[in-house]
Amino acid sequence: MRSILASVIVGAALLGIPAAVRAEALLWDGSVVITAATSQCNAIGEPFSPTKSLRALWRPRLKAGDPKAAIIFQTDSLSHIYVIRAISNVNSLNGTGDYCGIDFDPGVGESTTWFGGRYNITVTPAPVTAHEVQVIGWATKFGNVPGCTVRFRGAFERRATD
Amino acid sequence: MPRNVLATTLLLVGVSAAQADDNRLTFEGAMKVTNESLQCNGLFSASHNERVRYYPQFEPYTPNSALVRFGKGETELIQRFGNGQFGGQGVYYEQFRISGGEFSQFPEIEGPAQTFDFTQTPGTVAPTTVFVTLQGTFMNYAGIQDCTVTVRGTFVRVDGEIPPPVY
Repeated sequence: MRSILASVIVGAALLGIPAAVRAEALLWDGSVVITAATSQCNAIGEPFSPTKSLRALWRPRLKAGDPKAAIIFQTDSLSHIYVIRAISNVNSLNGTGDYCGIDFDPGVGESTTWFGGRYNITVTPAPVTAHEVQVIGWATKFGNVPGCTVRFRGAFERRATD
Repeated sequence: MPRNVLATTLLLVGVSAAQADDNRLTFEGAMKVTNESLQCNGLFSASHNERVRYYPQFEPYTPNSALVRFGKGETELIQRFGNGQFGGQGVYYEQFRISGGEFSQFPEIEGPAQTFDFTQTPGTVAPTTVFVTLQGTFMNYAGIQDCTVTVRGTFVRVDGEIPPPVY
């Protein structure tokens, strides 16, 4: 719960969108596993290596006013929250594109934002309204580390909408 | 050391060891409760998904299929009774639960029969399976007569054979 709340707070703070709007954004909870990582990723200081699993959030942009589509990686110890966020108003991170990266370090309460990374993610099903969403993909410059490419796959369950 | 603290500590060590992990393939993901009958008396919060691990059984007479719920303030191990996975119908029991600083261990069969009826995709999970979804019901959950909990969840295999990197 705390990790989810932290993610929402981080997202709201970083993106400058009113919390009331953010609260309406539909989220999917799940897990991702790192299936490969280049050696440069060792500089992250986190074990981003194959079979490392993390809690994650999948956030499509379903309607105007929603925050930009993103995938959010949370380390188990909440030492870092990594966000890969779309730059444009795409419906979801399905396909290839540039992203805006955010690394929030709860230990110091600071965040780092970077550009220059790309993602390539295949989402199933493509129209993101399903209860279950599965993704396979990769992202370059992960953690703002040049040359760090992580490959991952993840499964997400949509939250109840009442 | 009070007995309940010691017992909780021992169980937590056991859970940590299981996460560490043993030789069982782990599927990890999230599950939500879409409905619970009035008899459940609000056991679940419907507003947030729970982190869940699924350990399907691949061969008969190996450790039984199990689901581990990391719920709000509690962790629970739900195990299938007998061979098989969580697709279809069967009997389950809640083997352990840690909640409120206490842990509970339940006999395999006690109280009303605890049955499940799930649709699992794929129908049979193999060691090569990457994604799994489960949707269905637990009957007589928590040993409460007529407490029916409807859930759905999705999981990704987080260990086992990982394909070589291709960039």
